[in-house]
Amino acid sequence: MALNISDLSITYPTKDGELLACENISLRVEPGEFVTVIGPSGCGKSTLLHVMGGMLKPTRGAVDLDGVPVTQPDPRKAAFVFQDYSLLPWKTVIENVELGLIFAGVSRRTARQTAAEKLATVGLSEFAGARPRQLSGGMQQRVAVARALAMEPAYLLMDEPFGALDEQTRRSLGADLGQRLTATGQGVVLITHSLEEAIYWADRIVVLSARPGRVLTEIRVAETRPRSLDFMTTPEFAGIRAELFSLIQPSRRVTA
Amino acid sequence: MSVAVGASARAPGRTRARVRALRIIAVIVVAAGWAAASYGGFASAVILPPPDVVLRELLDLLRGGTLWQATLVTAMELVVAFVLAGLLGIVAGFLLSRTRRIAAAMEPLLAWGYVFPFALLYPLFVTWFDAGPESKIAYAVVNGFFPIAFNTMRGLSNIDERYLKLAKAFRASRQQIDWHIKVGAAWPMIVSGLRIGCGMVMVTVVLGEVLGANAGLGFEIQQAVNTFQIAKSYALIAFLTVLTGILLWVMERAFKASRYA
Repeated sequence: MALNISDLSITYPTKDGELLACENISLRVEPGEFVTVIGPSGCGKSTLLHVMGGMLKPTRGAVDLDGVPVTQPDPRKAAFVFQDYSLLPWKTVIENVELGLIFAGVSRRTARQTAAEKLATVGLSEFAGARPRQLSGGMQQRVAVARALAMEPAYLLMDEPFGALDEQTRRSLGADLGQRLTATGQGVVLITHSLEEAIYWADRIVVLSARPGRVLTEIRVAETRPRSLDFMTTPEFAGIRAELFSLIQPSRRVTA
Repeated sequence: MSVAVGASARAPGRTRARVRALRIIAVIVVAAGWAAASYGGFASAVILPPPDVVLRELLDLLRGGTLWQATLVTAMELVVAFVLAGLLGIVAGFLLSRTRRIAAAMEPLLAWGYVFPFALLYPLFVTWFDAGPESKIAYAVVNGFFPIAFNTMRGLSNIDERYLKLAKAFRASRQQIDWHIKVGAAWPMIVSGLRIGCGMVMVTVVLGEVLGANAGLGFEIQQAVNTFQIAKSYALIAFLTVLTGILLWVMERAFKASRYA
């Protein structure tokens, strides 16, 4: 299932008139591909992701999955992982993971079984009965990933999923989850403002300009997945990092 | 009370023991003050009968049948009034929270009902429902209803945006949002409404019995005072204090068990 975005523009109504968040974005994500979207803050990358998942309607252009237009959220096709985890504190970890399945009307037993499998996929089986607040931020985000995976979606739509975590956790969790998701052939669109994350996760990096967000360029990362953390120390990584750095430095426009 | 329980439950063992000791000391100080005042001759036996006289009255009451009959009446009124106030309050709070505009319109009205001195209207309740238990129940339901409805409505209409966004992304139906998201998110507010409502019901049932009734503990107290049996009225008050203490404790246990912390 390929995700197509064609000629997308999004405007926001604000009190000072219309605000153009993204403009003329076209993008295609192949099945099983990891695509990261990076750009300066306020470039509309998060908005773009919400449109991809049917949470927002574009002002112009369209999103489709193998030709079927995306007009409302369908977690069976594209499931969200939010930056703030959004776990329900009054439910246990496994109840959180099976939530989407329960919403979809799956029987309790099947839902529980699938949830347990996905919890194992993210390495948290032993915490099934815990409450979210008993887990660290990184573990909570794993639960949110398991909740999305339980829907067996074609794509995970991850909105700065590690943004609230400290550097160390962010790196190790990113590496671990990246490897686990690669093993299952999961397609991922990941929004980030971290250069490292954008490179480490990506088969392809989409670089957006400052607002209004436009696709500046796409960069392929040749290194095969799964990648070890050592990939971050290679010349290839350093080269892409330097390129990205110069592309999204806000000061570039000032001095240019 | 709930604050003290919450704080001591979280505190480590030593602090908890200290809190408990302080509580007992406070009770002892009051009792000692009472004993000193009446045995020391500072207070007349009419105003403050000595503890041993009150204790003897209490033992007499516990052995007799009137007290238990009165207790049964009061307990029945309490339970019925609380269940009705709880059901009506939660249903009303839920229905009013369904539309944002209605919730906004009703919130101040419920808040006003929350503080309105319904005691002023008690004579009307007696006219409407007679002096039997029905008037106490109706009066207590009206008093208990407002905090429960108010808190339920506020809890259900102020749901964290993140949870609603999650519900949308994972395609929850309206019923699923109500059940899986809203009830869970509003639960602490609903419980706090029930807790306040429970206190209201306790106070108003007994107040109703004192103001005008033909049975119940409040009625017995009123009778004792009217016939100048001051020691008996103190004994009845002591009994009522213990009874409401037990009821509160049971309620706290029930609410605690339902908390998801």
